[in-house]
Amino acid sequence: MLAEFFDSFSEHRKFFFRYTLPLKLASLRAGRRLEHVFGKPDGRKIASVIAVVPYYGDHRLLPWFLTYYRKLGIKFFAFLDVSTERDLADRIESATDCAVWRPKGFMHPGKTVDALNYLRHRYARDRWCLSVEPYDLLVFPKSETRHIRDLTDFMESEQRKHVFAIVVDTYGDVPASEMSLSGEISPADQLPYFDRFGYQTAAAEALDVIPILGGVQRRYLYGDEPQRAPALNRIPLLKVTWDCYYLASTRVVVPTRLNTPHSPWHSTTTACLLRYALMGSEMPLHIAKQAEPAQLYPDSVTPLFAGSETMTSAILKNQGSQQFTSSQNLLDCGLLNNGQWF
Amino acid sequence: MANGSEMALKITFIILAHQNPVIVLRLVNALIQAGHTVALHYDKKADVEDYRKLEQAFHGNPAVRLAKRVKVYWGHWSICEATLNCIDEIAAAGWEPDYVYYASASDYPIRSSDALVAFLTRNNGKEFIEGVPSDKQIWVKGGPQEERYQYRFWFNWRDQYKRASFFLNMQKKLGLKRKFVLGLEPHMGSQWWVLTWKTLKRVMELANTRGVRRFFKTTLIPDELFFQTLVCNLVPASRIISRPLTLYQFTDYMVPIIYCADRVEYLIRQPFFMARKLSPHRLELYDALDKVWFGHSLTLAFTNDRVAMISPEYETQRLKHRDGVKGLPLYGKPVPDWYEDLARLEDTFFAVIGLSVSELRIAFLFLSCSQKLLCHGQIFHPKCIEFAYGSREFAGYTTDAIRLRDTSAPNFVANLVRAEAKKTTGFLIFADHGWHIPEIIFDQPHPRALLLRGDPLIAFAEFICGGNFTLEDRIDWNMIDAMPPSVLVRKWHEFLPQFEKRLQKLDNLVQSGIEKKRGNNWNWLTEVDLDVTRNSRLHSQNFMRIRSDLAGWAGMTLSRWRDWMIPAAKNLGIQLSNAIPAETSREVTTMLAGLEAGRKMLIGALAAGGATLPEELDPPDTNNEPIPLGARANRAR
Repeated sequence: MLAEFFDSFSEHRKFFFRYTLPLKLASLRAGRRLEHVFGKPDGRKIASVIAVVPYYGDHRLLPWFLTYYRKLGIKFFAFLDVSTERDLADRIESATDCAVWRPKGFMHPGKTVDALNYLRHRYARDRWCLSVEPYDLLVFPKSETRHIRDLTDFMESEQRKHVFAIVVDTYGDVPASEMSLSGEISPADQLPYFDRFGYQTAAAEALDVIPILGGVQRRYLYGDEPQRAPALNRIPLLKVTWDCYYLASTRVVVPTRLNTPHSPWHSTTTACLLRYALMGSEMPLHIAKQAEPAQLYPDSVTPLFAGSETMTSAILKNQGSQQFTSSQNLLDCGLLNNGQWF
Repeated sequence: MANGSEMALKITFIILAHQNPVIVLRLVNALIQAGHTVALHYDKKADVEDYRKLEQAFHGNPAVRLAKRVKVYWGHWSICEATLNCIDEIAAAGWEPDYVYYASASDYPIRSSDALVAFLTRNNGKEFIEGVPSDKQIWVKGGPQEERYQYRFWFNWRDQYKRASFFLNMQKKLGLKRKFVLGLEPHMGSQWWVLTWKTLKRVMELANTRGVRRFFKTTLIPDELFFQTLVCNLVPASRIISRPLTLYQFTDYMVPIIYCADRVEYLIRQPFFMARKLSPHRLELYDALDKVWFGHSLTLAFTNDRVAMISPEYETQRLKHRDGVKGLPLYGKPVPDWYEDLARLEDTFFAVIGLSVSELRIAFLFLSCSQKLLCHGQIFHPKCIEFAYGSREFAGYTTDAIRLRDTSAPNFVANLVRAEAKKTTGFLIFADHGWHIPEIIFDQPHPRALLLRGDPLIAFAEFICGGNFTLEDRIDWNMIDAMPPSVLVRKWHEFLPQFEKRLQKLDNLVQSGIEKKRGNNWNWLTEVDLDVTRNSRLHSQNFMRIRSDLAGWAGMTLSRWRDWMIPAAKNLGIQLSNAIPAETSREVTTMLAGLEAGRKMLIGALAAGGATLPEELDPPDTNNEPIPLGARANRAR
């Protein structure tokens, strides 16, 4: 009994020295290479759900992104500006609910995940933190009428500190390269379809990660090698505790219990990240594509943004496509799970 | 809006709040606008700025009194103290209400003010407080019940659990059990009550008795004990209605449900007057409930006997979604490797499993006549996926997505079935194809099967032509005719073991299916033996032997196929009409004639090559000794 106790302690210690401590040190190192440009410099006396988002330079999508998440209930955004122009602060200087940070000089794309970890701890320690790409919209059951705090309150009531999500690529009737973004037409209007079928839960990987495979990229780009298709599982929303760090993009997180989608006793509320990357501009998408592989763990995982860049000229709509009108569409095909949330 | 001056009954609300002054303001304003009075306690731990806002908002308002603030902790005496401070404030204000409604700032009215007044007027004198004699009945679902007052709790059970638990155990070991104060009978119940002012005054008198407050200060969760015990000891049971007038429900984690903005309809259907907890994040919910409270939107009236009867919607939904919605995939939940997503599929589908594609094609033509059926072709063909109506794509798969399909055959089938919501889905499987899908079909409760034990000669003809036939492929009888009989006989001997192996596999499947699906009353399996020479054993109740009184397979005329296809389809859940469309009739008749002619030619050629054939297959003009082909097949079983 005592031996078991010490063994388990030893396991925890090993894990701490292998993952948590290096990630903490890496995030602190990355933090030293960042400079604060705009907005509140830390998370004191700001909202209880904070978004920490990388910015690749797609300023056309920014108003749409902010509008959606403000409506969902996000009260504060901390951006990491990794765009080539580093001009995000100038573009959103009137926004009081945003803060902008940028690297001092060159930063290796692979360090983005560490820099974002630093910002998460700086702004959202002991609070809920939303970590999404600037092309992603978080959709959860009844998100049209419910606040993101409703979701986090419910998750806390089930003693869970994270929300599992699946990335769902969206597309339109015609190739994305033939579309253009104008003032009133949002990416969500341009790319209203998603794949209803063709997803699967793969066998659990190391660190309790349960990969979800499938979606548009698998059927269109990896039809001949489906096993190489990108993993779609993400943890976009979690409560940042002292030992909580993303290890790879938002796909793998430590402590490992945060990678498990469902409780062992019952299913849990999950979310979807509707990805509108096909409407992204060339250069920002290229930066996102460069940043992603260096962040992935393990290295064999196929990145998603590379596929998005390839599919811009493809006709993706087919007989299995479904138009997205509300979260109910995703609930109906099982991509969202309501869990026991009333 | 209710007019306070016309009210026969005066109600004062005690509101305990600790955060979110916007919501507190909204609630208090709604209550006082309806003519009621409010005694508000705002937690001393909360932000002082928030309290200042409330003070400013209610400054000089005669209908609102702010009670002396205390720091309120969960499960602690401070909750009762805050409530008693509010009662003191009511007494000091001299409102002399008829009823006092105890609520928190997370609550909101879900019935009109008039309805509440009418209800309390109708039941004037009754006390609405849950009071369960805790010495006699179990009320606490998890955790200590009698120990709550038998022992002393100096530490908070939630925040300082280890200490509280240690001291509880110490007292138990030392036998430090204590008697209830003043010899009162302890009662427990929900914190939320509605009491008459007369009773509350008597409660205050008793509470001020020496030793009472000191006793309750060291009980665990006194807010579920203090008022309940005092009221139940002071008031005769006939006057106590042990039902709350505030709706509250708990999750199975024993945490109160928070009602979100889209639950307005649900809330106003419930026979209560207030609900807790309401999500403070979307004010639309409060806008909608304001309309109800001020009588602008109608709600259904309820009789006294229905008060506090919660509808089962929450439980129904919780259980429905507990393990994901039945029939839908639950991504992220590890699935059994063998069944994968088919384990969760609850829709009925069927497979027609056969030994030759030509025979499968005839069944396919018949089944395709039904409008209520979506019959795909061979979805597990090694070279292509044959979707219904010759579609190029279905459920996101294209006809050439072989690798994608083979990544997970069960998921592929599940997707095909889910993609068709209105019609029953079916497909064909050639006996060698389909990965382990035939096994799953004979194993899982929902799939149905039609088994065609085909004619070996037809299967042989396909074998000679290269096998792996699609529905579009036809047997090249000219090529077979041109083959030397000796080659044919060699191939025949090569083919027979394979055929018997497939038969054996099908028989094993049937046997295992009968065992596993024994509890299933439904006619899930239909077996058809198209070989007139085999003496097949009867496997299931739906066995159909096509015993022809004519010679061999020639007996399988159009009408004869139709005669067995109709009951077979019925077992698959499809109603086939007797009237076969002319196009199908023509196609099947032509096919049957071609197959029969080719079959006769094949028998002749095999006989000429020296192969021994069974009697019934033997052409009349040959004298060769017949080989009991059926016996071979039977031996294999």
